[in-house]
Amino acid sequence: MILIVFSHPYPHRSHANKTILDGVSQTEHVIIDDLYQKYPDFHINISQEQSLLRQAKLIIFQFPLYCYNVPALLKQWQEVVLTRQFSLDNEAHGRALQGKSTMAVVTTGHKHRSYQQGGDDNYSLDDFLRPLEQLSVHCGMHYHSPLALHQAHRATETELTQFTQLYSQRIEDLYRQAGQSDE
Amino acid sequence: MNEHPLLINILIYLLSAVIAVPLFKKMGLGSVLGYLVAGAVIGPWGLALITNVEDILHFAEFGVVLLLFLIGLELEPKRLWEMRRQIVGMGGGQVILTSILFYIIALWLGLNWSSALIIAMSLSLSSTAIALQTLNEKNLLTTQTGHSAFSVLLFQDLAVIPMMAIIPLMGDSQLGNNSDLLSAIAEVIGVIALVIVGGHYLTEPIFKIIARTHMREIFIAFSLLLIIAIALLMDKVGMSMALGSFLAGVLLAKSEFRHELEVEIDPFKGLLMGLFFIAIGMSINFGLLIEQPLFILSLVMLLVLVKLCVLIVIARLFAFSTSQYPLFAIVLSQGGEFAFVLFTLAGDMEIISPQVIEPLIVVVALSMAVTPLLMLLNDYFIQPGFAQFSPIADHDILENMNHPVIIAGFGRFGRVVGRLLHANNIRTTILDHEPDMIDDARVYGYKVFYGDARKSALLHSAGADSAKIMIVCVDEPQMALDIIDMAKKHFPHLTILSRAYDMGHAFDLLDRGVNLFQREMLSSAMVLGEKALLELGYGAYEAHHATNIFSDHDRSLFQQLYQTDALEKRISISRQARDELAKVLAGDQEEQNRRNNEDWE
Repeated sequence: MILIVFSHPYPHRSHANKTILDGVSQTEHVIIDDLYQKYPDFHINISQEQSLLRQAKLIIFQFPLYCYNVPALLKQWQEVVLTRQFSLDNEAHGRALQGKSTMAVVTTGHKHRSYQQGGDDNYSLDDFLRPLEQLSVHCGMHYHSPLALHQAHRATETELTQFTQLYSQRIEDLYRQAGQSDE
Repeated sequence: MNEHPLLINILIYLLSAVIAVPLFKKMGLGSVLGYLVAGAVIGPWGLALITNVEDILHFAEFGVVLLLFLIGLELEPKRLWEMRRQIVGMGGGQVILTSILFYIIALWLGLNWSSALIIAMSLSLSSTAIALQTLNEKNLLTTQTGHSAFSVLLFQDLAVIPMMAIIPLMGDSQLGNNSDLLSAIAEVIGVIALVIVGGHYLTEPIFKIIARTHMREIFIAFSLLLIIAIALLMDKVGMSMALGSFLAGVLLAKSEFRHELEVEIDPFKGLLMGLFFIAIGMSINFGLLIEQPLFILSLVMLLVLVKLCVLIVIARLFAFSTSQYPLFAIVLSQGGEFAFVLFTLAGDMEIISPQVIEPLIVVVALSMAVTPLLMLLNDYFIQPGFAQFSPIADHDILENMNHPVIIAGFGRFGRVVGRLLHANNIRTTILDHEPDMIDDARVYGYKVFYGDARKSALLHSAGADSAKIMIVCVDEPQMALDIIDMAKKHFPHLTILSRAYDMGHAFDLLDRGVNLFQREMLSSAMVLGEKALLELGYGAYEAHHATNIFSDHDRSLFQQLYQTDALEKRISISRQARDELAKVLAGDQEEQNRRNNEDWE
């Protein structure tokens, strides 16, 4: 199962994110975990989230970059769901996330070239996502470099379609790889 | 004096009631006793200001008729049908058992069988007026005990009919031959059918026509006309007037005019019930009491004791919880107004001699005065005893004394508060005046005290001296304020939290320095509003956010309103505030649009 952990406070105001999510949800094995829709008051059902993670082979974090970071609810989710006991030393299940694959899919407001040293944002997207990367590795997951749609609010329909196709293709590939490495 | 005899009489009644009732209420003795004493004082055996007691009593009986009409309005036929087992079982049991006991006692006292039978039946009846007034005043009519007591009273009202029918049979045999009885039964059935059909099909259209005229006094006039007509019709065929008006009330329970009827009839009922009690007070023959005090008083005790015992047996048979026995039994422990009627009837037929009837009437009247006293005993000694010495509360009285939290009122609101605290292992002591609630809660290990939380003695025994906080969850705004005033005075160390009925009530709480309150509908209404936003296509987080903004705004509006207390000002600010809120939300929306369109997707 491919779990897309989707975090956007105002999804129906974001044409780009909605289009992409709608498109990719058609892909086989995909399950959407829409955090802001499920937990508007930030009160996360921890066991439900952990059980979803257990069933997933591939875990995608899709979110808009907010203040150079993940949205607040996704940060909260990381804190309460990825507990030490769950991801590192669970006696019954071992390390729950061990061996799973993960990747971030990020929409940003700036141009691609501004995410580099000397640009408006001074660091690359990879740099901004280091905490997510290290968190994944720490939990024993394979971290794949992120997929980004820059200046998402300016994206044309064609660009969105192309990105969605790329996104679908990418997760299908990763899912297949994960399956092979399982066997 | 002779120019306006009626007005002067009314003046005397009103004056005595206005003086006595508040005084007795204040002393915690209940209004019924106040009226009775007022009656005794102004009556022929007191200051002798009023002499025509009999007439007044007859007139005031109409108060009971109105009372039953109003109770009928609250009971739909379906509800009544659901109560049939209670009515027949408990009521029948009570009337038959009590009658048998009194019959044996009367025979033993040397009366002949026919006198004994009539006296026994008459004494088995309780006073609808006293019982219902007492329950109503304590706010217990809607409780399990209230329903049960009411069922018994209803059965008694029905039982009066055959009782009245057989008295003539036992007297002059010519008066009561079979064909008379048959035609009487036919008449009764005919009248009931008339009331049912008329009440069902005729009154509603007439009420509609009258309501359209928008003349309130005509509406009241028609309502009273209707009730009086039915009452007289019932009386004519030898049935209880109260029962007839009860029937009319039940038939109108589903009518759209129900609430209006309730509001309009209620003041008449209140005044006439008062007059009725005054009349009972006046009719107590203190001459007899002074002549043979021991004899009369021991008969009163016998009457009340026998009735109490039977009622407790009935309560046991119908699986009441033990703490409810006393209340149920006390409420129905007195002789009733129908005893007067039946005695008079039997006296007129010369079945019972006046020497027997006169003391009996005094005994019945005095037994009515005993009820409020027994109620007092119940409130102060018996019920607190149940609360303290029931098996569950018993074994950990010490722990009980150290509970940090007291919850006053364990209804829909208090239960949630209590459960939340209970779930977090916080020990609470709960106060409620509804026995059902108490028994249910005790089963689950809650410490519940029965009683009126306005009384400092109860709070004291509930451990208010060592508690830290008190949470007032009663549903009546005024009662909440009374509890708080009392607690502030006697237990100033308590931190008080309170449920607020609405903004106005919350202002009252703030005036008393209670700033930890929650308006009872606010949170749940906002949650439902948020659900509506979701249904209208808002994202979950956006809906939640909009609700939070509304909540903030509501809070600041509340503060603003509290500071300007003139009513006029409240209205205009609330209008202004609506515009303001629209601006806030619009501004908020703009902000969201800006962020979404220009910044981060």
